[in-house]
Amino acid sequence: MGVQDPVEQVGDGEHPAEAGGDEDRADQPDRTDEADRVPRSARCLVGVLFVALLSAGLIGFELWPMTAWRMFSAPRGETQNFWVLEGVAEDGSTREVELTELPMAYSNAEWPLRSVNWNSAVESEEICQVLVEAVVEVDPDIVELQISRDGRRLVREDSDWEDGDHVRTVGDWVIVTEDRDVKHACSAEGGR
Amino acid sequence: MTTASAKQGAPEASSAGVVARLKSWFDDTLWGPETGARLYVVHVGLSVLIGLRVVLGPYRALADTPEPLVDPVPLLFWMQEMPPLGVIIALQVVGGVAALAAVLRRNVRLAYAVAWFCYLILAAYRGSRGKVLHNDLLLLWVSAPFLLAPLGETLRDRIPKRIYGWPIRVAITMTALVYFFTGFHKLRRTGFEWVFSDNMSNIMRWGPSIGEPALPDAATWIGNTTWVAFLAGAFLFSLELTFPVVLLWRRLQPFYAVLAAMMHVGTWFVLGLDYWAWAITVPLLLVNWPELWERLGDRPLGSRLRRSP
Repeated sequence: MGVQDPVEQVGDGEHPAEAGGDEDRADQPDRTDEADRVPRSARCLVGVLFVALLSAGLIGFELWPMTAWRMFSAPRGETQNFWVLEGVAEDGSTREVELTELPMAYSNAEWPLRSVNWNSAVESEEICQVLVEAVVEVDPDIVELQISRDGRRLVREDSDWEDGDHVRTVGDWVIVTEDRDVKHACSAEGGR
Repeated sequence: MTTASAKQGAPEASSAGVVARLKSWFDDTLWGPETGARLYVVHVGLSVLIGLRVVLGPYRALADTPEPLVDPVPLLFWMQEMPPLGVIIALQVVGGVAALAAVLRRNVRLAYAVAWFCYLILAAYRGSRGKVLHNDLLLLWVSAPFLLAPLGETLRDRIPKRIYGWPIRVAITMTALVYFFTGFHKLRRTGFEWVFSDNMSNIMRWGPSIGEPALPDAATWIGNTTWVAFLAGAFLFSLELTFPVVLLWRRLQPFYAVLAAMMHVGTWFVLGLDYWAWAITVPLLLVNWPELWERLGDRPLGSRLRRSP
């Protein structure tokens, strides 16, 4: 049996013998080291973090950065409400204005739109005005903006539905507008 | 000792044994030992991730958010409107430089804390537009214990110690709890119908509320193929609810890391949801990269192979 050249594993500047000793102890926890204790400050920090994490997670409240971690928890049925912007042109024609047409700062605007449901008229008008200003930048033909709650439904493509209600086709299914309720409207004149 | 007293003592000894085992498990789960090499890799990895999120995140666009559309998170309760663009850029620059310093191990504790704080504030700005955004929350939470992580560890520290282990073990525990809560609230709010109904199909058909899927046709196909939607839903639901098993059987941690990464990559493709921070954070924490490196190669991470003369 031949003798292979021993391959030594060394760290930079380490003596081979020391490296070999470390390697022997590599997987053995040093339980006799009295200094190997978790500091009290760390235990306090961990305690605070877990109280915050567990309380929000178990009870289910939102107090950012504390959160319940509710992601896709609500059931998705065949009907869903959306808050949408509908632009009205001078000739009376209407079209839905997608939030993706607006600058990124407006991408989450659907959530403030919902507050139109319970806001005062003044607060709703403020929201509407900032949105119509942004919409007019994108589409100068729009003279009025409507904030609507749009009740939509998933229907089979081969079922009965009106062309005007069509929102989007998803394979064998179609998303259609079932009911559109205008909650607030504002003119673009103030934004020009 | 009589037979009667011996029998009476047996249940008490048994319950005391169970309590002792639970305490031991709890102690090991949170404060168990890990090598300095593993801590080094995780600490540097988190610093890189935080730096990337701070520098590459879409925070500059937030400066244009009109005041009526601002809904400040509780952490920024005093905020009436978004800060000026200059403030946001300053936070990104300072946070990015601090993260780089932490990666290069320069004034690590201060640098890491500054980077983490800048990240916290920027993520808070992003979340101050009416909707709770979870994209950055996992990374923020699991990187918090490292604010007090020990310093001076290197890739050559291969002796497991509790002083090195606690930040990693705590972060892993937090990760397991976070995934569990996502599944728990699905169960709480929808029940098992989350899986055993058209729920997953409808999620695919309705699409995301923000953003666009990278592969909309894939989302449509999943939504319209009943058995695929069912399997996808069952996979997500069971992965989240069972995540805490990684605290009982640590050998499962790498597998759950891979599954979680797959889930987040998949949701990006079919729903366009940006969870790449989650997809990288979970494997970073749950996989012992120095140990894996040693197993794949013949030398420890941070060492140099030298043949003796």
